[in-house]
Amino acid sequence: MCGLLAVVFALSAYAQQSSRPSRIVWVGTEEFREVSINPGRINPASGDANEYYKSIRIKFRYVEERDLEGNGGFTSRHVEWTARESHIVHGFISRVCRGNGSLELGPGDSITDEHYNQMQMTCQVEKHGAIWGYFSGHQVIDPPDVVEWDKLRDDCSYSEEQPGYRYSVWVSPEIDAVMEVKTGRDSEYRQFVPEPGKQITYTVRSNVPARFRFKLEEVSRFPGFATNVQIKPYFFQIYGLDHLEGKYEVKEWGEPLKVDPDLILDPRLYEDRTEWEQPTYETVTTAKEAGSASVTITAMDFAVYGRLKAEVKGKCGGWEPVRVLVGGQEKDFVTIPMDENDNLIADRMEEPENGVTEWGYGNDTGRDDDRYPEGDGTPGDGLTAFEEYRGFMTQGVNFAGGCDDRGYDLHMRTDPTRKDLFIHSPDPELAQLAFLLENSTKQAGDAKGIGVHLICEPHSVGRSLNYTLRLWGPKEWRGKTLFGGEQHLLNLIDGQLPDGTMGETRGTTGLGPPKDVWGDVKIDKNKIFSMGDRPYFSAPLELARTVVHELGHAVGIDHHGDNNVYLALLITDKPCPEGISDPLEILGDGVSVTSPTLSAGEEACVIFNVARRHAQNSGNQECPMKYTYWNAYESPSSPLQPMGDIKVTDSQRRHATLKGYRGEIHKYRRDLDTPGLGPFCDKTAGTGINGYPGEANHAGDSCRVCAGQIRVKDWDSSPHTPPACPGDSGD
Amino acid sequence: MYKAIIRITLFTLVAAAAYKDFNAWKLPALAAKVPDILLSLQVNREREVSLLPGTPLVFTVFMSGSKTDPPLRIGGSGDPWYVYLRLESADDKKQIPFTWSLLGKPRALPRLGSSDDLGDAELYAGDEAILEKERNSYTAELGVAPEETAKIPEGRYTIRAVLEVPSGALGNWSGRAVSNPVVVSLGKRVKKTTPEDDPELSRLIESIDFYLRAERFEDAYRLALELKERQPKKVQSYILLGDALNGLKRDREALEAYMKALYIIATKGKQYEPPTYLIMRMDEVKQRLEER
Repeated sequence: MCGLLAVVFALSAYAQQSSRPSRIVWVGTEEFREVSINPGRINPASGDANEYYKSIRIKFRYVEERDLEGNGGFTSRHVEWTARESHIVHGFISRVCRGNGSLELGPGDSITDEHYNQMQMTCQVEKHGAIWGYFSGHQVIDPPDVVEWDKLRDDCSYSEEQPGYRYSVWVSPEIDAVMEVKTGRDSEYRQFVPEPGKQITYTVRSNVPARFRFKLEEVSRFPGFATNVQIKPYFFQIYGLDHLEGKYEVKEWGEPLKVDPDLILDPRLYEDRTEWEQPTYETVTTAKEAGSASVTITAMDFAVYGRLKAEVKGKCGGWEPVRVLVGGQEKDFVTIPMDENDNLIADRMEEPENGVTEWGYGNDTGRDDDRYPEGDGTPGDGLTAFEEYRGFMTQGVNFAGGCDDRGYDLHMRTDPTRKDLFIHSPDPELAQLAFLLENSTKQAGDAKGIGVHLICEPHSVGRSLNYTLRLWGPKEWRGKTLFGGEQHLLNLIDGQLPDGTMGETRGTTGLGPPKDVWGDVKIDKNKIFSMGDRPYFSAPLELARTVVHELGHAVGIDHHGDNNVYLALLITDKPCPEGISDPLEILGDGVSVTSPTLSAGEEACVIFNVARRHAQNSGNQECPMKYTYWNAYESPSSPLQPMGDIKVTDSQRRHATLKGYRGEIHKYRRDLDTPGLGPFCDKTAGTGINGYPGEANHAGDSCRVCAGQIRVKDWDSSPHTPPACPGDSGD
Repeated sequence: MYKAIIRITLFTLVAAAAYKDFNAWKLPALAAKVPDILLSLQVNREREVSLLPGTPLVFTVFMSGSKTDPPLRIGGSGDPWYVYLRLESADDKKQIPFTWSLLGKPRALPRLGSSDDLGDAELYAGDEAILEKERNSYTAELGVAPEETAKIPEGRYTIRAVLEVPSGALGNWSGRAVSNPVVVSLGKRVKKTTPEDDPELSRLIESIDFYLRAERFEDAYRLALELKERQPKKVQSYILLGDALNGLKRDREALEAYMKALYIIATKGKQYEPPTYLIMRMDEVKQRLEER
């Protein structure tokens, strides 16, 4: 109390202290620490103790207001303390006092009895003999004084320290600094969706001139700048960030990737040293005091997350947090982008029709549950919602040389409800036709077919599509799953096929999903074009059907059936069917059957490319998986009956073995069998040449249904096994 | 007051339009400027090849237009678009050390729809290139014969395709378009990518293929016999032999060769995809035989 009175006396010199403000907020700390050990016998009556401990810490905040004449005084006095004091006299008595609390002493200088009562410590006494009178009375906290104004260093602070005592006080700037961020539907903050080079600015305003410090915290570090691309020199040119080339996210040969933050304070914006101090990618400080300051944050990825905090520092005192008001609510930080549900996806993008995409990315970040097309019932396309939101660099222009300039690249955030398939084709003709797969995978009941996207060679590593997170992580971050498993793209190329085929997809099962395809999906364009246009054959149509057919395999679709006949012998007691079979001599001079022995009147006819019931040529006429251009088909009423191996020999005693059949075959009507480019079949029912009545029906219903076999997702699902069909029953 | 409101409204509309235009301009400006005509070049289906001398070269030039409305037109009847196409060295100091010729007629692939609406599915091979939305992918193949490449000094050659249409030529486009470069390395030591790779065999097969495409069937036949000697159990040997004989109209022999190929397919176990090409070629020669 006496301390406070000193302030009053000090005010006599008020008039001379011109720098003294009319309103002062005094903030300070007073600490007492004492330890005393006196072993041996002592005289308790003297008040001494064998052991004595004292630790008191008092924080205070006094507000003082005076007019120009010095009239006035404290308008508020707040103290906060923690205290402990112990006296121990061995064998006689020990007293331990504790206290902590806070109290507003109110205006003026006086301290009431009620205040003192509240500032008392609570003591516990233990006596070990007949002793009384010692350590009586109460231990009370005494509010600290403030010093005279002219003792302040730079009109800001004062401190002193003696053994067992420390005191400091400073004049608080009493700054009210706010960073207010509007969250309305059209606000810049809500509208901000990250893209490399895209910027957003935040402003802090203060009631008094001050310096400001901005800090980006918990910033994401996703390698690359989209799901399927790492940062290469072209990145900096395309997004106007040339000045960061060689500095940001550098991958040295043989060195691990240095992943830099996805949100940065672009050094180019903060290079003026009269305005800014010590800028890094994540912190910058204003060099001068001002009433406000704005900071611009630059995104370096199509998916980013970070928190922006700001601090303020007045002439006196240290750095204090700036109040952050986001949509009127006080927070410790503002997230970039706006992400109220903290799922790492910009809130704007969670809703469909958001101005960027027709679809939204709400719900779980790690889900992969794309519904369309339904296919074999396996949901998903191997890409998490987060990866689809982060998006992919794709071949931006679908024409010759579309991959020759990275400036043509187009970023695409894909639809999380639609299965997406990525295809790289260096051949512009094949690339153009790959899009037909979208139509063919869309059934009447499906809202969407597979989304086909062309990409260029730099948009993958090997055939790995989502390689940025796969190779360099993180797979999970802030409790959210980002990466589920590796998804592959398909390479669609023009290549020479040696065995008379026009297209080829090879793999562990001969089928997709994409990870199970070995190497490339190959189309022999030269063979197709070399046929030229001829009756019932259109090279463009055949090329298109072959592309869709092979891509169908690459997403898991098998043929309509399996047991067509390529080359065999028809054993018959009738003449060889004219135009669709040949006598044995076609196999060589003097060829004859040696085993089994044929019955009298029977002969062996060479038949080739015979479509069998429910096999590769069967089913829906429009389906791209159905075979076309065949030579003959077996009679529906008198189908081929296998009779095992037939051994033949020629005039030079060379032997050969072929499958033998009995039954009837008819000429295949190529004129009625146009290549299918419609949807993959969703029923077994034969249509077109397979829907004709009686003997005109070529191959009947299919064994398999194509639409129900489609699978795009490479991971986290059971092995893909197409339905079994009767195999080669030639024996 | 009324005039002031109109002025403010007009100003706002103009400013909004300018802003919209600015944004429309700004985004493409970030990307590369796309030329009117784009050429893309491959050699033997690759961007870079390493070959033995005597292996034929097939340069495939793909041409597209970036603006198709209104369509770009190049050449016309009697003045075909591809006469303005040439190969040149991308290295200023070198001349291309070979002569090339068109391999087949340049083509344009139509844009195809689904089965419901296939559109015009015909292959276009006209003199006038019309680069439009429905047909914007033209392809020309320029070949260098095996005997020509056998004469080329060993070395590395960087080649590009150039389309240079002078003003006054038929059509509504003139100018110069240049493709990406491709690299041809010719030498006796060729890198094998797999143990099965045999550059000699590859040279033989590609030479047969080249002669077939160039309709030099006698040359194709001569080499096909050589291939059959080297690989008597391969389907490809008999298909290529059949193709050469087919070109020479030796139909009976062609059919036998094709039948032999089919026999190998049938006896080695069924291949997954049908030999559609073989079926159609067999049908072709059988028809001719029947017609005789």
